[in-house]
Amino acid sequence: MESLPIRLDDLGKRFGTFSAVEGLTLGIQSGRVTALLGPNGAGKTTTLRMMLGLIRPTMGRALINGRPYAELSAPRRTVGVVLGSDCFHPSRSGRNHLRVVARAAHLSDTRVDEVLELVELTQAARRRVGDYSLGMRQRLGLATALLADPQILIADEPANGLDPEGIAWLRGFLRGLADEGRTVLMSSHLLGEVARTADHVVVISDGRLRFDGPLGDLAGSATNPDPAVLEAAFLRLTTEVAG
Amino acid sequence: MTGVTAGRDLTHSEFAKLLTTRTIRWVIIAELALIALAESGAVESGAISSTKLATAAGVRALLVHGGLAAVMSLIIGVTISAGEYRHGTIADTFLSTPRRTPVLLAKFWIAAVAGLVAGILSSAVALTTALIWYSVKGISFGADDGTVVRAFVGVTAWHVLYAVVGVALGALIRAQSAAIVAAVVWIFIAETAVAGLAVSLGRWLPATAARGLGYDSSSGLLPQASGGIVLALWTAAFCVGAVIVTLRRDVV
Repeated sequence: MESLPIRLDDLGKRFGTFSAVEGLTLGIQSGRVTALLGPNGAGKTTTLRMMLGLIRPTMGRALINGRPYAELSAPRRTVGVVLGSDCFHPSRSGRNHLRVVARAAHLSDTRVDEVLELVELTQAARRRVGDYSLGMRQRLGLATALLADPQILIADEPANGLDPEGIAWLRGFLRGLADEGRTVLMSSHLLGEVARTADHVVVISDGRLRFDGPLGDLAGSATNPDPAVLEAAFLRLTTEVAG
Repeated sequence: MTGVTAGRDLTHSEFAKLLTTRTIRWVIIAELALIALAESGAVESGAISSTKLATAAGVRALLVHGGLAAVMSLIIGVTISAGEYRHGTIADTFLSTPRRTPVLLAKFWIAAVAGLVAGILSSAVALTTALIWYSVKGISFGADDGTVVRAFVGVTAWHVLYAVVGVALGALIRAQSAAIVAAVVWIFIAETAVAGLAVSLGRWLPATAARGLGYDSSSGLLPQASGGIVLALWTAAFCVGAVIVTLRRDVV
């Protein structure tokens, strides 16, 4: 477990009297796509943000390559992060957004142009982000995450707002990263898409771990996962708790 | 990557943020227009009489308008910090530099540079406007070079410190509009009221100390150097508070 790229040890967070995450212990392996699933308010985003040092845990710890995120010597080169489609200054161009991040990570403008090409945003690079569609902003978020060519990708609802073509593109993209041996962790609501993309599933509900195992164990088959079976299993896991 | 390189990269990134949006340009343009308007209004309305204009005190009363617009530099500072919370870019900033103190130090530095530019331009516009009115009114310029230099330096320093205070205030409050309203209400209403209730205390308060720094000729203000020291101490207190709060805050 020590060599896992992402490790959570008894991780927890309370906001006042509300317990958002309680005693999460799990490890995320490289070379596969891991989906973090849970209903709204389950604690997915809080968990991801604790991994990234944006939220301070009230108990336990989250480690990236054996260290807290804040102690990584080159965080952008270690972890790429997609936090949503509304994390951009609307009057800054897509290219300038990437240049701002590149400056902080000691990267060149050449790399900015490369990732713009990678996510197919070159034509729109000089337009204001405020004029981008939701799908374009998701792609820009992905470009930001990939800027420093990290070994780990953490994405919070990366498929939100994408059209079918964009979702297919994203699926291929994430699978490609995992096939290169990188670690991909994504949260999602889209169970059908998870069934087509993920290798491994973590389900949390009410801030607690409900399942941590291969996709096939929840979706009926590892080689031909059934979204309906996955949905039934997900509802059973999450409503058992509510009940 | 060494600490020096990381610090330089962070500063470059903060500069890029400032220069890749239009906010700062429009705020500075508005600032300069306000100075020229307010100064012209003071002359034309007779708020500063022709007799007073012919004295060093009259010149100082005109040139201090460059500093009264320093609230606009404070707004630039607020947008540098609170603007990141408003647009959600603060998460990206802390993902690039997870240790938050260097991020705030870089923002203080960038704000100081922006305040310096705004201060120099403001002083220049205040002086130019004053010279135009002296020429138009046919009044002799009643101050020596030393008075002008002291006003110029004081007003510029006022802008620098206010811009840094703005970053601290924005980091403390996070909501950009609320931070700007709080600053304006404090500077133009609350501090005046507090100073009215406790006259001996008033000149030690930040906005009144700033007028001393700006070489305002009004009575009851601290001398220029003392005003500068007091405002610098207030600025340092705001900055320390901003760092403490930012280190403890969750970015949700």
